[in-house]
Amino acid sequence: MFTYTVKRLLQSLIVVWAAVTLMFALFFVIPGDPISLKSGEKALPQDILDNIERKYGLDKPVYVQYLRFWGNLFRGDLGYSYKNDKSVNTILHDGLSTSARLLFWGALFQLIIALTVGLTSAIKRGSLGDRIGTVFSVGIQGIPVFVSGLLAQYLFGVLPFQLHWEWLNFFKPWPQSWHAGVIPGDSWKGIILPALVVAVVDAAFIARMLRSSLLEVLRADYIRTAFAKGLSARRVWFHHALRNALIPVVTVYGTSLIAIFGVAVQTEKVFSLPGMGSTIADSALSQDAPVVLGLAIVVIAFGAVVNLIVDLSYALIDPRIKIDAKAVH
Amino acid sequence: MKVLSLGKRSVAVLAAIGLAVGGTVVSAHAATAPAFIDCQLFAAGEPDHIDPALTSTLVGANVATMLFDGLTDTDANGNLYGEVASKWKSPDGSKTWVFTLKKGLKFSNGESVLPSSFVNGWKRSMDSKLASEVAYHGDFILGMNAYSTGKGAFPASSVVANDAAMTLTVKMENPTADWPSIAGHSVFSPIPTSMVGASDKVEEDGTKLVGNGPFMLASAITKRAGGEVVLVPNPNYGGKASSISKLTAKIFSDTNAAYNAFASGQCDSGPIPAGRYTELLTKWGTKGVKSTLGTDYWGFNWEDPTVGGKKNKYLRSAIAKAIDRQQISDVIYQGVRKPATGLLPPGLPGYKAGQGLTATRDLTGAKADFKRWSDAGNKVSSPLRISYNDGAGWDKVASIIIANLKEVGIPAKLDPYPADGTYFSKMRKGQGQIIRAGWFADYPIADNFLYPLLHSKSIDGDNLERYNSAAFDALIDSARSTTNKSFSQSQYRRAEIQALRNDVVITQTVNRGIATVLAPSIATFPITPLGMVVYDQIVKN
Amino acid sequence: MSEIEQIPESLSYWQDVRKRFFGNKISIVGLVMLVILIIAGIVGPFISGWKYDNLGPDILVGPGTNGHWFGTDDLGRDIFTRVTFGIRLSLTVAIVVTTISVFVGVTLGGIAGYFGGWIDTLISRFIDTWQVIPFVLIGFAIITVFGSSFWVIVAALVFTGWYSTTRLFRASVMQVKSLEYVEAARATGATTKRIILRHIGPNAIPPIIVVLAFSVAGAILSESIYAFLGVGFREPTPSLGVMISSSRNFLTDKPFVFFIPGSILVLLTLSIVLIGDGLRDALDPKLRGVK
Repeated sequence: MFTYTVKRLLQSLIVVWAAVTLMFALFFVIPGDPISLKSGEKALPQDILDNIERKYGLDKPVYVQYLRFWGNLFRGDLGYSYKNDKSVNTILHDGLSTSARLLFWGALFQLIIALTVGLTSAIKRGSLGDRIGTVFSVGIQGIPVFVSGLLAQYLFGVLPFQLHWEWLNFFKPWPQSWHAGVIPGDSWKGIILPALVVAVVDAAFIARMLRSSLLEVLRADYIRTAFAKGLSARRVWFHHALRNALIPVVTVYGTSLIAIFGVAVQTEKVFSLPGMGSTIADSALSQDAPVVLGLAIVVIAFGAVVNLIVDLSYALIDPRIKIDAKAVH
Repeated sequence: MKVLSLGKRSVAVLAAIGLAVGGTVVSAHAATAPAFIDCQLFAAGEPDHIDPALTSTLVGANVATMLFDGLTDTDANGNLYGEVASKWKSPDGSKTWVFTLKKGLKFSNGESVLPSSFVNGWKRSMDSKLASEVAYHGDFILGMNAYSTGKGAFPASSVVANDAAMTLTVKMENPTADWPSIAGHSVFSPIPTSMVGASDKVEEDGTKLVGNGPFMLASAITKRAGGEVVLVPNPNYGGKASSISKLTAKIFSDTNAAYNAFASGQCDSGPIPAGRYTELLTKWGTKGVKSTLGTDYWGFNWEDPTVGGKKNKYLRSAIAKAIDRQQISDVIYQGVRKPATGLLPPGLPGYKAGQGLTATRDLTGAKADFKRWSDAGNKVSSPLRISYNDGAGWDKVASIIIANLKEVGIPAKLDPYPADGTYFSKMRKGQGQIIRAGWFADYPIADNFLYPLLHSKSIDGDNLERYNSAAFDALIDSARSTTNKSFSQSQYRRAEIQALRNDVVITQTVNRGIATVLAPSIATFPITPLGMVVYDQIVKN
Repeated sequence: MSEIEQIPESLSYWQDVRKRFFGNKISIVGLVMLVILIIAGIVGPFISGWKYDNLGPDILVGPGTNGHWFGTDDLGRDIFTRVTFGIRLSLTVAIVVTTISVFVGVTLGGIAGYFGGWIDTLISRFIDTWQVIPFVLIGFAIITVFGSSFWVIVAALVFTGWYSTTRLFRASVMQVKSLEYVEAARATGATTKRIILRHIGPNAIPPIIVVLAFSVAGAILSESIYAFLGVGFREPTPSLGVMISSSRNFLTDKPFVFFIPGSILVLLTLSIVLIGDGLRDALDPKLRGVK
């Protein structure tokens, strides 16, 4: 297990390095001359563009820029925005505080929805609730996040406002504090819609996973034995069935976390939240390469860590994987 | 939009009176004056800067002009007045300018505003290491270009401060009759000694960006999207005290979000999402609407075999006559941008109406011109490319133009470019055919439109059409070198006619305008023709 | 198990699949929806009497006004014509992207899965690298530099979609390769080409069919997400994502401008997801014989 962990860890580092290098190429090398793009409706004289290039070190050869980029990265310096000279570290901090809250509440709602729907449809298999759950979980896969976001804004923002049903109006400003949502008051309302929109995408998928995994476990011999031994249904469900059924679900949950960035970008854009996703999107459009790259590194590292954890937990749960891993490498 | 400017109080006369009573008046006033919250729309990452030496956007410059007063400024009626300068004169035909400064003006930290404060400010803003995007405005000053490009030392002999006599003497590279207007640009702001050599991040520390304007920073500007810029009255301000006790500009990354915040009562002013001008101005009133010194136009690539050169004049005039400017104004801007009659916008000194080929649609004339061009053996072999930068609604204007041209029988198609920078750099290289362009005044002078946009020396720069006309150049050159104001004005007018009517190298569509929605409690919301909100003169009931 | 015995069994397998697929009501609903949408996409632009980029005098009029069945947008363009064009565009892009992605996936995945060893390691690590980069970033990078023409968007979507088909086909090939009859075929001295074409290929196909359906839906979604974020198709191209994106300004007063393209997009992806879901159940060998 130790050698496997070390090996896998090294692989993750290589993956992060390769991905960051790819991003560097995509945003720093391929666009050619990002500073010349600063000329908008009013042209900037070449001398001025040269000054700006010198300021950001873009007059140096690409390999020097690349080495300097890694050097600064190891010192914890992500560089400065081409647009307003703000430190990317600060931009990252600002964006992260919003995105982290969005994802925290989103993940929490996701878990609640997935468990409720998944359990209900497994326990009451074939019932009306199960069928609704199935349709819901299949259906949600066809709805892109930005559409469900706009729909939510209409149903819980525009419509209640026009009908003067203020109690149903959840389209409120994004709260600035961490604890909003726990402490009573009005600010929690601003979290509900964006977090739900983030939650439902994969909640449906996880609920289905849970349902089929539960049904499979229930068919297993040891559950039948447990029932035969006369253990209470509640004990069998929670102690035996759920525990075993959750293992595949947890790994699916991990992989869905990697994809969550794409969801966050759309949610933040639809709800105009100043998070990482919308910052990256806006910066990419205005070719502010240091900001894009600085924030992307965090997303990439996050993805790599989640991948690593998923793989390691696979190895822990299922010893056969180790053998397979040895065979492959 | 790269816009820069000046603009603030029109009441400089009152400066001396306000001076006598000083800070106490301001603070007594502040207790009763209302606060103002502006739900401002900033694009991604904006404001780029609120430091006057660095900002190159309208929103950033607006904050900078609230923090800093320059030598001169333009009031809400478009008139030039002395702000820190009390008078100015040129003894030698605009080759040297001598400004006399008002005495007793102070920065918000109490330091006096002296002629040397300007020298310090210019030394900083033109420094090649600061790499300001707007440093090139200094090129009017003798020897400044070498300094701002890092090739030479600061031209101390061109900018001479005499603090005892309170005079600032500036030597020009070429005779520049309009220099007093140009000197009002925020890049020419003064700085206190504490800001000498300050970096491009000085604004992120609220205590270090110290100006002499009606407001000062209440706290640092750190966050962009989701953050806010808070200004409070400058207690040492020498001019008329601000009418509001606090200005909060909230930063949104999205027009809809900003408008929604305004509509739900969080702010006193807000932007209008595209396509909703009529609806929202009807609902909230039109006090926040102002025509500004800008013009949208479409240019023809002078080097293109189909649309360019003398021989294709009648194709160009057919297009100019076919465009329905009223339709563009009504459908896209719902009257906020009005049909233009020439390149220079109304309100600009030297403006004359009707300088363009036509201001109204002339379908018969367009068909006749097109026939004349076709009869000469020309034809449009593939649809004309209508090029524009995407994302700012130009696609909709271009769609209208295509529909307009179709009625004349001229085939055309959309040719969008993804980002502003890419678009303009491609157009500058002559890759366009029919080119979306526009201009917003840096300083309210005719030369600021005609020279950069159409002079042959501006090819590769803002002369996107690559228009090269000896006749036009001669008119502009003679206007620039004279000190006779009325002669230069008539030369500029003749040049405008040469380009727009004789050569039809560009055709104007609409004049620019600003539209803001305001809460009912706002009685006065002054905006200068350069698009600057004069926050310190807002009247709130 | 010899080959001769296998053929009739595989025939009955496909009969079985067909029976199970058509026995599933939800899949049938999806199929009917998709057929209707495809027909609308083909004939819609011709029968509406408007062109998708024609500006009319009626601005933002509601459905049914002046012969505009779905109303008009802020430039007076006919929304029915634009959404039907949008369906056509979405499906065309999705099919082209899926075809290329599957081709890449089958080739790379097949090579990795069958040969294993260093080539498998190389391909797998490359996929890992690619996978941790959020797909929207790849789109941003490509489209902001190269513009938003049809083929650039297709390329961006292939770049973001190729690895999941590759990964899946690799796994599928590896699984089949280890099955007894393949090993038996190899033992009897069959050539590599023969093993791949006759044995591994056909058995790795069922999961590919399911992935195909989901990739088409995924490509439609990704295309609309790009358009919404401003890096996909642009005005006046009638992409559903573009229409939804520009409808945001009118959500309060003219919600139909959002609801029409929005629900068409949802119905389109939903119908394909439902079909894919039905196919997955029908093709799943574990469910054989279950009705």
